Amino acid sequence: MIYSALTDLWYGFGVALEPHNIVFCFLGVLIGNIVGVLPGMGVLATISILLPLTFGMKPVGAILMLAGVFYGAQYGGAICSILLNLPCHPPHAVTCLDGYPMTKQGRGGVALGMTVFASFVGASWGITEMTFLAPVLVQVALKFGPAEVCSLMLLGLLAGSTLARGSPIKGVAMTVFGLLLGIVGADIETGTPRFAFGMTELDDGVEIVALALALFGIAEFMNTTCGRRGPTSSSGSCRCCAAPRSAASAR
Amino acid sequence: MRNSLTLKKDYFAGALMVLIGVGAVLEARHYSIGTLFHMGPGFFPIILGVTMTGIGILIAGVAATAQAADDDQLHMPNPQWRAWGCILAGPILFIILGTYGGLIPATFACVFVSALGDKDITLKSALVLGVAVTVFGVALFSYLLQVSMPMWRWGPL
Repeated sequence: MIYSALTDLWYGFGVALEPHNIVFCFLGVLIGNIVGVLPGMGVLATISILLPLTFGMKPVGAILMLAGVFYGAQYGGAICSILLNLPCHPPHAVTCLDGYPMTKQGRGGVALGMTVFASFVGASWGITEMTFLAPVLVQVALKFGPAEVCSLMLLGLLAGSTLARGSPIKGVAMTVFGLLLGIVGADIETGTPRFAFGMTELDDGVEIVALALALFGIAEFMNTTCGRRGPTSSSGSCRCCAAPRSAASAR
Repeated sequence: MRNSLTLKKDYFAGALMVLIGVGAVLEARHYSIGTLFHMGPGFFPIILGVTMTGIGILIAGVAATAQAADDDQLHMPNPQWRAWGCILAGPILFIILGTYGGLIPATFACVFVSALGDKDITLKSALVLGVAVTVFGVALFSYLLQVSMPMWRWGPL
């Protein structure tokens, strides 16, 4: 099993390291990076926008380029989270917690470098594991039923809610509130519009980008109007004057 | 030690959570709940609403038992009512003027009125800011992106 995996890997590297393929991959990473930096451009959006670029290409080059776009866009989102405290899409919210304070200390470059390194190690490890453990994992995956998926989701949500600063109950409350916001829109099973209040625009659900940008606005609003502005508050709370501006220029 | 009847911030936080939870349950009543095996569209919202209500009570309960901290008070050190009014009025004006007047008056009114909330701003700089954002918005949304919103209009849709 391992032997065949190794031979396949060797062959794969042979194809991927051909000069023209590597150029395509490089181009993909570059474009993915540039597009991924824009707020609201997640990996999926970037790939679907750039998909037409690959129409005229050979399959191998096209797939390598799309893989490059995938990783480039994934990393591009981190740039904006670290430098602007603006998570471009949900997974990067955590990057903001550590990355943006480093930028404030003038060590944004270090944070970016660490992210590159961490992404590289994480992705390589994940792929290696996938290559060698996939046959074993298949057997586990088949036993992974609804109960397991549900508990995993619960774990993820609870872990996410404890990431918030302050009291854990409030974190859980906000997670539940987020779930309620996520319910807005048509039900997946029956198509019944829920919490839409007769507005057809809400049938699609609440737009995550609009919601995230609005939250930045509200935080800034609260900071200004409650008179908490000053040297004491700027260290803890997230004051992001850059958010509205960068969002406007991205549109 | 402070009087335990002081209005702590967390009482209001809890009340807000209860309000949201009860509201969710009341709205979700209209959707069919189904059974545990065949969950209807109303099943999960009701569970979340009930959870939310419970968490709200819990937040208020924890606040009632805990010692009052310094920043627990509702008192704002330096409330700026002008900023509150202006910034809240901005988006509302955008909605009203956007429906009845079109993109140009709506954008200008929204930016201009919101800018007036800053107590350091002069009338002139607010005007300049409003005009600049309006020009930018019209150029971007009307000409570049061709968003289907009229620039000028009179009366409702």
